[in-house]
Amino acid sequence: MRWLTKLQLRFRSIFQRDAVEGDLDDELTFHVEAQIAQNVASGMTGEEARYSTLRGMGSVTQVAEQCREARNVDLLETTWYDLRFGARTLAKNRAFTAVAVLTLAVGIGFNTFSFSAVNALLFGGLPVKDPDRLVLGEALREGFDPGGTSLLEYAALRNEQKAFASSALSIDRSFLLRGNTEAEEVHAAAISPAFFETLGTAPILGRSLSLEESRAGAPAVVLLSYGFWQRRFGGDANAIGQSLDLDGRSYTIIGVMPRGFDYPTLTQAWVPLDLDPEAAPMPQRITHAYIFVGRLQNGVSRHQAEQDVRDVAGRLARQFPQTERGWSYGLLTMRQWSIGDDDGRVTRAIVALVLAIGLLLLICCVNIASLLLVRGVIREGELAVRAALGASSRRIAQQLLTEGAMLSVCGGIVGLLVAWGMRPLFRMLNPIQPHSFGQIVNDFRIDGRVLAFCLGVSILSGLIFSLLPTLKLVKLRNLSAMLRQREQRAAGVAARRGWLSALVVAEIAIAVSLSFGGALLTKSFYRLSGLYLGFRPEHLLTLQLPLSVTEYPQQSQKMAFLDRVLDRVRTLPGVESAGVTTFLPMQDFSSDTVFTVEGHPPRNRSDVPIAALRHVSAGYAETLGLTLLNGRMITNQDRAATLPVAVISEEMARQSFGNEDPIGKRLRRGRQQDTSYPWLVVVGVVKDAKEDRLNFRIARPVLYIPNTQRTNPPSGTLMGLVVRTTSEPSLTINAVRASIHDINPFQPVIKVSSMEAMLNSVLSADRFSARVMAMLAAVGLFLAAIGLYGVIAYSVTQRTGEIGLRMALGAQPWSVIALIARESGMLGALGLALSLPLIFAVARLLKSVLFSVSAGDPAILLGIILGLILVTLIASFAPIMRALRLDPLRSLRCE
Amino acid sequence: MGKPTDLVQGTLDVLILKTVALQPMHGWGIAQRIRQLSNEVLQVGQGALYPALHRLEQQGWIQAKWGESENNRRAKYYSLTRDGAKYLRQQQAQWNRLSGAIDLVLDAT
Repeated sequence: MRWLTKLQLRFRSIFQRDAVEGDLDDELTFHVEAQIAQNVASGMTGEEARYSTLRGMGSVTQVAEQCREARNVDLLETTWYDLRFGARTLAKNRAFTAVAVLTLAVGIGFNTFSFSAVNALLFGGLPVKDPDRLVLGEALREGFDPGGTSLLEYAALRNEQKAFASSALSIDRSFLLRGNTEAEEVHAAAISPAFFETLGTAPILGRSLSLEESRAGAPAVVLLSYGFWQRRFGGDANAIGQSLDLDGRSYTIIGVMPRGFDYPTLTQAWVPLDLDPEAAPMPQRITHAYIFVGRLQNGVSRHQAEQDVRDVAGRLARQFPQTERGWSYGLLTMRQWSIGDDDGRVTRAIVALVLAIGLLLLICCVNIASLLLVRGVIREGELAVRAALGASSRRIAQQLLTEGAMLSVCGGIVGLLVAWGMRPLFRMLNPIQPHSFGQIVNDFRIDGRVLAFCLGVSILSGLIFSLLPTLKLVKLRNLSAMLRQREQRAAGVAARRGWLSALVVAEIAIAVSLSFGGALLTKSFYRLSGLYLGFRPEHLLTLQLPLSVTEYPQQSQKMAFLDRVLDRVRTLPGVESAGVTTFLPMQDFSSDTVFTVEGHPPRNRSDVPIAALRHVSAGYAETLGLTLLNGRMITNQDRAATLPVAVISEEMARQSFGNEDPIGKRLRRGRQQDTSYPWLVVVGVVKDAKEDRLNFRIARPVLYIPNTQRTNPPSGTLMGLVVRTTSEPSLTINAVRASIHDINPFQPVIKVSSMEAMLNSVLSADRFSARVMAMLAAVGLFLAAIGLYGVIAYSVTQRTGEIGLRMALGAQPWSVIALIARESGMLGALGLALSLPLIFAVARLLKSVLFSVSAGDPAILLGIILGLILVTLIASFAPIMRALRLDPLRSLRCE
Repeated sequence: MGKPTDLVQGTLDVLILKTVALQPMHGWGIAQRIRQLSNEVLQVGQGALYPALHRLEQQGWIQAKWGESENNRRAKYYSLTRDGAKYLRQQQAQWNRLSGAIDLVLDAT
């Protein structure tokens, strides 16, 4: 029971302090009076008794203090007291507290968020085993232009190299699912036997593909994605064994994949790839249409594997020079795939942003430090008095530490709120476009470790600088020296000003480099978004029509259907024109073809000319708004039986024919020796249009062929429909859809969008970087301005005497202004100078990301310098005003 | 008051506990009683007494209650707790053993 009583006593000592102190007073008073009474009883007079007693008592306060210590609640009590006192002090200096807490919150919040985001994007868990050992392959034309893997390459990779423990192949297939409900399009993938094993994942329900089922001619089976299973079957376990009607063929469901697994491309279902890579006909074997995935062997690094596959590709090129010459091979990590980072640019942007936000944290810490430093100086007097009254250095240090900790905790809490609030913002801006595993990367949590780190950094810097005044105190414990010796004080002040100035100069340097980065990115994005598109994107409705082989077994039937659709749609009110193509501009996939020009072999023998390939209907070019430069566009007269023709883009004409007139000349698809494609006569040249999303920044050659003259069309096709509307595209959607369903009620209509929306998504990553960097720069500049203001204001306060003296001696107002402005100007200039190496670093880092902006852009540099001057002026404005309003006599008197 | 003999802190604790064991008492009374019982040899000043009393109360050997003194003044009375009584017995036994041993050494010839 002892501990209970002890607890009660302790409780009482802390929370009923006054009562306990009163009790002690009463007790000691009683003792004194009893002693006096005894003295009187033994013969002293009242006076003598009192005097004798008190003399013998010694210091009552000391006794009380000892009792207090004996009560052994020192630390708890003093901490509680410090907290209350600290809270009062902070509440009194609202401006300081607000600025400090907000600065901390910004630094902690932004960094917590950015690190959590990076953690999820680059290190998050994916529903496959050891995702960092998985790589995807891509064929690289001319060593850099990425394409899919061909069966030939797959066979070579599988047989000839040792870098992969296992590998698999997949290709996207699109099925029309028919059932009791409305027909829907199923986005599926045909996979090779070792697919799930390579990825290291297994179905959560049912089973995976067996070897027999993967052979050609086996019974048709399908595995479903978790989302699809939930949606279509309501999560019913009895879905296994049921069958789905896909493109008219019955597939038995044998398994369901885990939640979040949708590799390779937001796939909803997986079916076996029913062909043997080595036995397929040659034209099929060389099409670069497949996605290769491999799991690295233990101990093999990605670079080693890349070297390996490059060698394999080299050997293949020598083995099949007619088809494989100029093709190399490269690897992509699964992580890159999951954030849509096909060329490394997204990862680099992420790293750059994280660094920038880290620099912001630095600015915040510097600001906090300088704030506390100034505060410490202001409170020196108060602390000196406390020390003189008997407070130990330890006690004062404890109180300052508590205050610093309170500030940091407040800042941390607000920072957490800031980080929390940024999540929906990020999701809205959505710069990441994952190929698969999208759920995981979009669903990140705030990381506790990161928060602890950021909090720790802020607390540390706060504590260090709130303790500096105590250290000063320990050195000058002499109160009178403290208050009297001005020289000593001035020296101390000057040293402190040196620290402060150094901190602010560092701040300015960081803010300037952030601004530089932000300006570069913003200009780059501006240039990108102002690129000449080659077509008119406004008022263009886009949608895609999957044409399945069961509905339209023959190419001619597909063409007939499309003709009917176009005829109907063109008659709708609100529609100006319509056209059909194989791949819409800015669509996420594109088709390329190599080609040969009659009589014009490529300048270098190793060059393989390649162009984006589009099979289009009549009216497509006009709908899009392509500009005809020469000859004619594709018309209704171009049919399967008429002369095979082609329309080429300006760039293609330039590359193939130089300055010659291309009209009437001939070219054909395929390499020089390849005779499987017919000769096409060039009948028109159009101005370059951005048909290819991946090659948005350059002018890619484009070859337009009438879709009625398509050779070797695949059995199932996806066609894109563009409709130019007179007003908002969204108004015409229903009418267009109705027209299509009037002709074929079962035709799925997917990915309805507008060209403007598609354009937006192309540049979303660049837009995001530019906006975020600009925002960071603005915040950084703002904080640096606050820091600068703090230093200048403090300096003016310290120099009140000097300024007053000058004014009393007849100095003009402008000389006072010059005095202060010189100091702030010096700080700004130093900051600018210090920022130069940082600017170089930023320029180098961003070089690969920038578009048509050079790092030495004079407009940007000039703008930054002017901006800095402006910021310096604004920061110095208030202190200068205050200095001008000084009454010289008063300032001289109160030193 | 004469010059007080130096007492080890633990010994003072035992004296207080014993005094309080005889009869619940306030601080002043405890000091007087110790003086009386020791024939004026041991004189405890309030600088040592009250911190000791508060420490003993904190540790739970004694408990305090406010009451009325002989001359109707408000005073804080200390009494022994059960744990305190046990602690006193232990300490008394230890003291006896110790002083006995010291006596043996000092009486040796």
